[in-house]
Amino acid sequence: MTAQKTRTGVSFDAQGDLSDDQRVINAMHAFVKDFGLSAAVHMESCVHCGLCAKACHFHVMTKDPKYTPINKLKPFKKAYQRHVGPFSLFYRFFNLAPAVTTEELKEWQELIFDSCNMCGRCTLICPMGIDIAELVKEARHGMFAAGLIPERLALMDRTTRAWGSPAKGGTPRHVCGWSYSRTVGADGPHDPRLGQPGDTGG
Amino acid sequence: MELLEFARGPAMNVAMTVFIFGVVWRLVALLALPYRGIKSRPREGVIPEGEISSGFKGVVRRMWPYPTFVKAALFSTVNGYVFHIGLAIIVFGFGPHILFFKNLIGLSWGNLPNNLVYAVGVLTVGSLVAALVHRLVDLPKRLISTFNDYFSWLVTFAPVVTGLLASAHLGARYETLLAVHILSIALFLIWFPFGKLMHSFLFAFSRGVTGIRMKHRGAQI
Repeated sequence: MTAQKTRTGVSFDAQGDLSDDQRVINAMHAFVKDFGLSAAVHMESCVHCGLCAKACHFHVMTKDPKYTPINKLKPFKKAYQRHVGPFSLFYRFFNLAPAVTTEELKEWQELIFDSCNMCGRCTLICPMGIDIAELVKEARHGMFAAGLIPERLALMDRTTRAWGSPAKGGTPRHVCGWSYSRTVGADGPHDPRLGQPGDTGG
Repeated sequence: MELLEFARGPAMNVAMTVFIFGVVWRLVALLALPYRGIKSRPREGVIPEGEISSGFKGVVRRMWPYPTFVKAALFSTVNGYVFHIGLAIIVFGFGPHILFFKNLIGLSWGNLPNNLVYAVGVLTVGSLVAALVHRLVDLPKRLISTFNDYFSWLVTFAPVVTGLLASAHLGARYETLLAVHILSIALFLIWFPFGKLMHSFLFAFSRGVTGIRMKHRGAQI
């Protein structure tokens, strides 16, 4: 497995051997490329009322403020302000929204993937009508481009590319808790088209 | 130049200019971004024309929380209404403010009794203080709060307080109090386009887009 820990002890998975700088560049490019009017309007409209936390299962059960849905988008909001927003020039010139770091993206992997099932309750409670679940989806695209998604999803991606389905071969047993080596062999995947764990698949 | 003269003249002119150009710039830069549309096919039975009207529905529907969330959102919603309506009454219902608008745009309307506006002013101050305290004690809210939130609160709070002080002739000469009041409004106008006060315009777009999206998915708005 590829699980690693950030300096603050947060677990994350990484795919491929991209440099840290390249991961950030990939994430920001993918994120900015996806950005259209509706996502921008939603990024701009947040009044930080915090109501989305009251709708989020993860916050309701744990009371941990880090699960506040809009907080899960923090690095991507910074990227938006720095590269897309109407005052991005000022944000860059005065460094009002410092550049996103790989460390931040790694730390946010848990919040973007493991702590959101995209149920959309945050979208429903938001008085500004911000579709937070949709923004999480956009953020996930950026994380995929950076090769910073949970390994179980990376494996499904590789399986889909190889077989046209995430649920074929040994994948389901792996997802259910079988060890990687026991499922596909100690030498790696039995189908060379799958690539090695850690590949982003392109 | 007297402070009051400066506040009424150059300060207000600069503030109005920044306000107008800033708001227009922020809206144009935002609305000029490409609309990517929704790539999926609409849910069966949803016609594209209906999606537009659902945008308007989305704007209206968000004025009150969905039944599931009423209890959780009660304080934020009610307190939000109190200071928003309070601010509207003060700005558009107070006689001297109406005179200001008459000089600015040539339009005027009937004013509310001064004592009523003062009472609303005090209520609005209380509501804004409650909003700030809630921001400081509610953990998720505190975590996501930035300079933008606190400064936007300050520039909203200051004109109400200085206005009340000027009306009551409390703390300094009336001319000085009035000048400080006008300068606090100038600061509000200058900050408006750059911070979250822009939600006064953006809420409609934000809610509308989600209304359209929900209709597209066949969800109840």
